[in-house]
Amino acid sequence: MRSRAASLVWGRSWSSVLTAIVVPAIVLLSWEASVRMGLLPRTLIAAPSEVVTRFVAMVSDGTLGHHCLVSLRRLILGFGIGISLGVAFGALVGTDRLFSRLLEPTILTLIPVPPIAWIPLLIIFFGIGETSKVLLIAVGSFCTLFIHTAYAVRSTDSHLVELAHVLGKPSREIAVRVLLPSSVPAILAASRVALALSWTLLICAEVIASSSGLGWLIWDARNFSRPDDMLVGMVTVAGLGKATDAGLELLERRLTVWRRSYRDLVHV
Amino acid sequence: MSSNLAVKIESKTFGRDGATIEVVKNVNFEVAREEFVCLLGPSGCGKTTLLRLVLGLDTDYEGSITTGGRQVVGPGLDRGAVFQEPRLIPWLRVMENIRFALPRNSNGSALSVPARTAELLDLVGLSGFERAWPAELSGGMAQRVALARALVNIPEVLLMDEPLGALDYHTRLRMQDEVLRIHDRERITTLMVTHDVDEAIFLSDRILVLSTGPASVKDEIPVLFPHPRSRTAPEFLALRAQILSSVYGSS
Repeated sequence: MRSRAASLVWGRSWSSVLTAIVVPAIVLLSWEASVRMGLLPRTLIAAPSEVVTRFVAMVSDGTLGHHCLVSLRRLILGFGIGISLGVAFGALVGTDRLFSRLLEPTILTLIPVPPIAWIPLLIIFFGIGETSKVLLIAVGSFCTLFIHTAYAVRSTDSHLVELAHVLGKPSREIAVRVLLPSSVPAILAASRVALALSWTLLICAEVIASSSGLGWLIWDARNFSRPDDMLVGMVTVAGLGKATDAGLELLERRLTVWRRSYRDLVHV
Repeated sequence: MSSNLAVKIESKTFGRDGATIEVVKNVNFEVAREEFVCLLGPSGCGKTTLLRLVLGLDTDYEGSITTGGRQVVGPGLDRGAVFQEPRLIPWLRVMENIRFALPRNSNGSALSVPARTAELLDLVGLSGFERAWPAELSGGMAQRVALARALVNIPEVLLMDEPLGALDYHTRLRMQDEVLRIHDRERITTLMVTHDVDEAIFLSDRILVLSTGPASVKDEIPVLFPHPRSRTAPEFLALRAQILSSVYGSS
């Protein structure tokens, strides 16, 4: 195991890293060559090297940092509010019959409405400011976490619940010490789905009604025919999206070390 | 000997699709302090239902059950339980699983709890596994932890529902020795459900043979020869034949 670990890069072997690089390298090199040879018009797309130059410039003059902070603030607020309420209401509905009867029909009726369809209503009520964007992301995250948490709580091993009954645990303690911990893996997996959805909704909201943020940066660059700016925006979104997902994946691994699962068997 | 568990069930029925099925009928027995009694019967004869009644998981029956002279009205820590599955909590380490059985407002001092946990793990032969995850344990080891957990509150009565039923033959024989050794050390009144005739003879002071549907005590067989019992001794085999004919003889 130790010698194996020594030859790992980010948990992967050198050979698998090299294999993973092949396709992006071919794409980037042929893209660069096509632009330089005039096969792709510069008004429509920038060469990778130009994107890198522009990226460095936008980092040093602070514009990229500004848009990143604006976008991340919206994302974190919306995602945070959405998953907190989603887990809370999902857990409530999953553990308590009364709450289930009271809330579930209404919430399940609203969930099929695609979050993007909420945009007009949110803008009418909250304007085009921060609130409507944060709420849009919150709606998407809430729906994802609500369904998954309620389902996970209900899927708890009945043997464990019965054991807790035998040990005389009150229902509140059963909820906190059995039902919720048992739902943690599903909640974390759902959070990663919700995070990906949150990025989508963030960019949508910023494209539709905004004057700042990465979505606006991308859309504004298109309007002003700045393909280099547009690609810088896209690359940044990709990078931040991957980084935030990696954060959640790390949290997932930390919190589910007790599981002996397929993943540990095949080391993927 | 004073009785520690008294079961007097006139009738236990389940309603299903409008029909009423009687699953337990006229089951009366007592288990004396420190006694080891096995409930023996074929699968589906209502043994598990009976145990659920004693555990207080189901109080909808005609009759009464008392432990240590007190009426059973619901689950309680005066009764420890081991099930066929270990039922360890997967996200808690071995020692945390044992402590999970302790009541929240346990007035046992903070010092004595780790000591008691360590002592129990030693008792079941799992010292050194305090920090193991349940997924890392074999079936036999997991069942030892379940046994330690059932004993942590020093119950009046230990109830076991086919605790060795899911183990392979060799592990089961080893665990039978362990169960005897632990019973010998802790002297806890024990009621164990099993369908294994040899297991019942090897472990019990007394065997209650149950009949099928509705469950009732068909035969009561004291096992008088001393421990350690040889599974191949003539008296063992004779008793085995007697019990088998009691279980299957009438049908």
